[in-house]
Amino acid sequence: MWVKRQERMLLEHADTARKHTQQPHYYDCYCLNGIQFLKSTPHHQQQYGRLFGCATTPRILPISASYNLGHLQGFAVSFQAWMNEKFSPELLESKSEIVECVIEQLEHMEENLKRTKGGDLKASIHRMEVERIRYVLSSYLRSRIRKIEKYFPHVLEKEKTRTEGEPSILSPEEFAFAKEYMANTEAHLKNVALKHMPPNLQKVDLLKIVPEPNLDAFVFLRVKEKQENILVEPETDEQSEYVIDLDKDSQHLIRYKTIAPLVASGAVKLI
Amino acid sequence: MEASEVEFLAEQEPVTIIPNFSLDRIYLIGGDLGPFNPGLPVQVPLWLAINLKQRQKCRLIPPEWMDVEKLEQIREQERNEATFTPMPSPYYMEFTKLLLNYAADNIPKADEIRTLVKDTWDTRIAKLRLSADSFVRQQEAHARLDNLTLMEINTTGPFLTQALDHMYKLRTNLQPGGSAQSQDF
Amino acid sequence: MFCEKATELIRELHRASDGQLPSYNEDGIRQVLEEMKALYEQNQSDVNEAKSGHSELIPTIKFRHCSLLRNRRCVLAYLYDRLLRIRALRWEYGSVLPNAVRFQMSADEVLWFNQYKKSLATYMRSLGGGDGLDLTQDIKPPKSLYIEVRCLKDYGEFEIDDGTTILLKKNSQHFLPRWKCEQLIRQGILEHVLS
Repeated sequence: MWVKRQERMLLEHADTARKHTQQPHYYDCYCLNGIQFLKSTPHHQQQYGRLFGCATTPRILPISASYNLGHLQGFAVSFQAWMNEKFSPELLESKSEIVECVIEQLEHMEENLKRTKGGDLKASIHRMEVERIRYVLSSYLRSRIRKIEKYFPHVLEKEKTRTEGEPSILSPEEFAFAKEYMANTEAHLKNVALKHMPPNLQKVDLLKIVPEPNLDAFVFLRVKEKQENILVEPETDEQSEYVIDLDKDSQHLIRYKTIAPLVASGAVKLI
Repeated sequence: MEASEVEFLAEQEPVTIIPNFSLDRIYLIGGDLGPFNPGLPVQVPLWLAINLKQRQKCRLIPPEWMDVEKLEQIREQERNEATFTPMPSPYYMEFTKLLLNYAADNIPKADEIRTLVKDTWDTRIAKLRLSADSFVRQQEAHARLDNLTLMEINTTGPFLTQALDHMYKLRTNLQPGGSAQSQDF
Repeated sequence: MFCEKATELIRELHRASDGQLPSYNEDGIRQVLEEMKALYEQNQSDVNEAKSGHSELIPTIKFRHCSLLRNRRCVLAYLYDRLLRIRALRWEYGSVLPNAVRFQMSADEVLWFNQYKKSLATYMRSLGGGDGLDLTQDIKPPKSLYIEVRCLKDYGEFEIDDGTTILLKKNSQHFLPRWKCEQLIRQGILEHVLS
């Protein structure tokens, strides 16, 4: 149902439809699809405003509309997920819902754009936006695939030892990919080398031979929600441990493992 | 993160343009834009502003801070203070670069602005190098870096974090019973 | 000297600059495996001797065992590092590799590559409802909608997003959507003309 609505809205000047209701239609559409996370929260709005700047700029001209608290909160979240994934040494929890939602948006928009020919200005603006969003999405998924390939035994081990109720770090598709990658690589090493080696040397533990993500890596972060009493471990024997507070909007350089849970909870973002 | 990626993020920032065309309000995935009316200022993300400018469909209004007097103040403050002073935009460098590259004719005293922003940037990067140096020397475990912009962090960041990782590895290898072990691969 | 062949394998990869795939050293691998077989057999017989009282053999056995482990480590590192390079080729060239690159691979590596291609394709197809999402595209942040490209080779017909097709002929110049020609640029079929 919402496909039709969007088509109408997109290029056929159905813009008036929205003026009457003042409620972004996309929300309704998404709720129809059962994706609840799109409901706007102050938290997301704030983030969105900052990413797109408009909400916080002092110079909003009265006649201008702003490219700001738009329909798709998931879009802003996806920018954040993208940056976190880019900077985090380990694979972060999969944001499948956001990914699905963004893909859906893109597909419908692209579908509509295919039907419009030529250099219509409006269509070309839509096309540019689609390209930008697709870039963020691809880049995000690409960093994840890279990490899955790089750390596959550890990623799969983490998935295997995950307790019930704990969110998975892999989407079902990524999980399938990781398993195939592992099986393929294991088979290759076995067929080419291991099975021709002496019997006591034919078994290797991939967990031991494929490097682990370096959780000790230093990362830069920006604080979104104030945190108190973060324990910082000493770098050398002469130093002693101490605690710090992370004030809202402050920026820090610190070891990833110290703040990993805060990245997961969304209290800080990596930069 | 590469400079082109930081620039990509900067392009999401809003800028005011004066279009020379008419177009109804447009509903993008990220939000609404317009309506566009000839001669009436309207806010759009920088990526669109640049594209419209390239197609000669608008004039760009530089942000308030992109002004010789204001930037002189900012430069002086940055030179006088030991810490990083707040910048007028989290993407001041990329914004200046993009605006001056694509819309220099819409920006009064473009050359002076370029120099002022470059001076400020250089001062800040020099400070950043000094801080990084003392951070490494004193083997600190944590540093606060308020007011640094993403582009500044990314200029020095990857090199610094890699250096720190290497030093950490060397140190833990030196310590008896250190946890670092060689990998089989 | 033990492990010399194995170390040579590692050096060989080390000498090839990043991303380059030297040809598969089948002979090198075979020689290391032979050395391992010999070391193992010697150890087998010495272990029996040691058990019957010749404990002076134990350091030699240990030394051979270390050599065995080191040989294994080098062989696996050699093979694994090559897989990483082969993997990168998929992202660089797309699913069809140029012959020159393909000839550098062993038959088993071609198998691995084909399976990798399949897994990756399955994953990319699963993204979204339609044809999926080709993650090997959109490598760089989009800059502008269209870029000017020059054709370096005869390529044939090429479909643009809006459904029209154009003919990519050597030395012809086109104004194309950037995302459509990224891969062709990497394959050396198109060249970005910087104005």
